[in-house]
Amino acid sequence: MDAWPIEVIPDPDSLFYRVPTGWLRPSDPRVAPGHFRVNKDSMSCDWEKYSTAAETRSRQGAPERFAVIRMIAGPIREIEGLSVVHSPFQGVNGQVDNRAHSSIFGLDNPPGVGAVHGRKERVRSELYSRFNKWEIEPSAPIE
Amino acid sequence: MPQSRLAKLLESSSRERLFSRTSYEVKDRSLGFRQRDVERSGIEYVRVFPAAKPSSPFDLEWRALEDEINSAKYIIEVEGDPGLDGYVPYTRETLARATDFLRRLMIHAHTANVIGTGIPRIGPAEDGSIDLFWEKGDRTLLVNFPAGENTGNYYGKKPKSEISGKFDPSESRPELVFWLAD
Repeated sequence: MDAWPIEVIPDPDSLFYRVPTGWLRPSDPRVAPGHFRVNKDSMSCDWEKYSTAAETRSRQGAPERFAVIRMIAGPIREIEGLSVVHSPFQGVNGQVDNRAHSSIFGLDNPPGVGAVHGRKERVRSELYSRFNKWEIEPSAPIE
Repeated sequence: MPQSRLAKLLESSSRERLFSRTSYEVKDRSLGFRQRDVERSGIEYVRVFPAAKPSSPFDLEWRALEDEINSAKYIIEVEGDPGLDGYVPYTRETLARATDFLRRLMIHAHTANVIGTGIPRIGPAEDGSIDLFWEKGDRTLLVNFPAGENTGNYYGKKPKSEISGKFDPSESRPELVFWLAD
């Protein structure tokens, strides 16, 4: 099986980011800066070229336990220090192959640079200011 | 509750004194009952009722703050996402660091007659940390309290002005709300 190539994600393209409903306040399930989080060294999301928002919601099973935010590659790249990279994976132990998988790097301080206090809060505030609406609401029916 | 606030509440209340020989009570809607012995042969009842006048903007803002703090208690029940590595639980200690800091900010603001800075949303963030997030028109302030660390980090933005840094949450940082209100 040929490995999926790593492609360049154009600025106008969308990325779908999954948020567990368990993070949300039951009485006020709005998007919040605290939803933009790093897993290992990046934020994981799915490129619209290979995934719909509903597929992103269902990717780990139990779609009713997730909501989805749509993010746009260009405005993410406008935030100082952030980059968007296509990072498909297949044949990785314990993980379902995902050609849409993409990564947003740069939320944490770059290696070798001393701590810049408030930097991560700045990045999360900037992400929130651009992407603060649900693409799939937490209470949306399962497709 | 700060002493000045208590004094203000009592001052603005109508009072009724009922004498008996058993106990001494002060009743206030916010504070509940207080009971004290009186040094004399008998014991005196005093009841203080809240004045029947509209709450001040300070009282309304303080009440909204306490409502938000109560609503945020769900955070310590938030569980990890099975898809994420290295889950760090949300603790009462981290939440208390955030809410204690918030109350101190509000007291400083009210003491300086600053009102209307808005009530932040209190929410869970990465690695067991907790956010306070003010969003008021074209200005935002995000303050994060990491789990297990006696520090806080913040970033604020409004037209032509940005602030960021690190602080000790046990200290008061009134300049943050003043920046927000300015």
